[in-house]
Amino acid sequence: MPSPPKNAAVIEEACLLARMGVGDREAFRELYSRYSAPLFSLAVRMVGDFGQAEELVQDTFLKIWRNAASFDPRRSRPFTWAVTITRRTCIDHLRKRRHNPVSTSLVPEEDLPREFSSVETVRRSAENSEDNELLRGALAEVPANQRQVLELVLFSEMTQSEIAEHLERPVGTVKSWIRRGLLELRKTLTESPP
Amino acid sequence: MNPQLEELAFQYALDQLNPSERAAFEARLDHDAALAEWVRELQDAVDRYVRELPRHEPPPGLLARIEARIGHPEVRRNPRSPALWSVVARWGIAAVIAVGVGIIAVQSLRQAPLSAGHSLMVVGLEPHQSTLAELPLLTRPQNADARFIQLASLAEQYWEKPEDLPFKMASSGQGGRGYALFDPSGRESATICGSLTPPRAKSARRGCCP
Repeated sequence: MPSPPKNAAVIEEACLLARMGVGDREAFRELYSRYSAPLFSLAVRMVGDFGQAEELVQDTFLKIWRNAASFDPRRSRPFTWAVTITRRTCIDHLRKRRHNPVSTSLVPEEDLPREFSSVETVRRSAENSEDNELLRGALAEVPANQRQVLELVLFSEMTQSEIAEHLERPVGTVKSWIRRGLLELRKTLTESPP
Repeated sequence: MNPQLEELAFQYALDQLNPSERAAFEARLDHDAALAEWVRELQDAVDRYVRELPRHEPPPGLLARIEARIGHPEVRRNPRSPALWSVVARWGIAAVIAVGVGIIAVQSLRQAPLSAGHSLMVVGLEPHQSTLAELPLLTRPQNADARFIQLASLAEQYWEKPEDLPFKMASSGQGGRGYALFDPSGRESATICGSLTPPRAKSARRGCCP
């Protein structure tokens, strides 16, 4: 059995989820105050549209509220769990948008801040090694090709096979870059904790 | 580490496994602490990546809109979800939730006459008062974990079925309610509260008491 998390913030947040599981709104507000900015930023990055990101973050927090009691601290930290819900919500949205592009209302690409993603902007920013807005902190240590595939696998709706096809590389190579990128990031984090 | 297992760990951390693969991998994690720790480190790396994204603040009215969609009542449980005590008991945390009045009520227990042996103290918490009773038990678990689970499951039972309480609550539960259970000999307590407003004259403490 994995050992319990030791970080006080992690325990606090797990307790917030436990309280939410019995309907405690105050706990929900506290969790929202901690997570709303990073989750909103993640949604903006994934869909490239503030309005859609807002809708998706609404859906995300509703899911967090409804499923709080099922959070399992053995499986992940609370933030990891919330990020997973956000990513899945955004990916569902992006896949629907891909199949039904008429229904979207994306802002013109030239109006997007450079850090915005969506499928095309993830590709564009990931491929543009000069885009230093993205190269903050630990990310700057990850080589460009590895960062590119990490960006695509984390922030776009593409499968790893689709990423390989897009990059015209074998799937095995893409997976290898993902592994090495994540290891590099982990190593950097170990050396410089937040 | 087995390369196949390592690859699965990466895919799990990136949420790339399908539901059946994920379930199988999680079953493995339950029995492999080193693998679980490795996965946790990879997940931390992903979390950090997300936290380092360019920051955008959500619109000011978003929380209110979400709460409007949550609707009433404040207290709600998903009957298919695991019980609260089971979530918390996995960690072996000695106390679950302490909100406002709960702390005051538990403090009052210190002055209450505690009978030795197989009994628990039960406190019903309401916005402006608490009610105390002693609950005799037929059995007493022999170890600390089991005693805590007994406490927490009873607290949850009273949450679900207030009619099972050894006393009658004064109000209908409007304005929030909660239950605190205290094991005098084990010096453990479990409190489940929702939406209780702490009395103004007292300082309130909120949060988790591991």
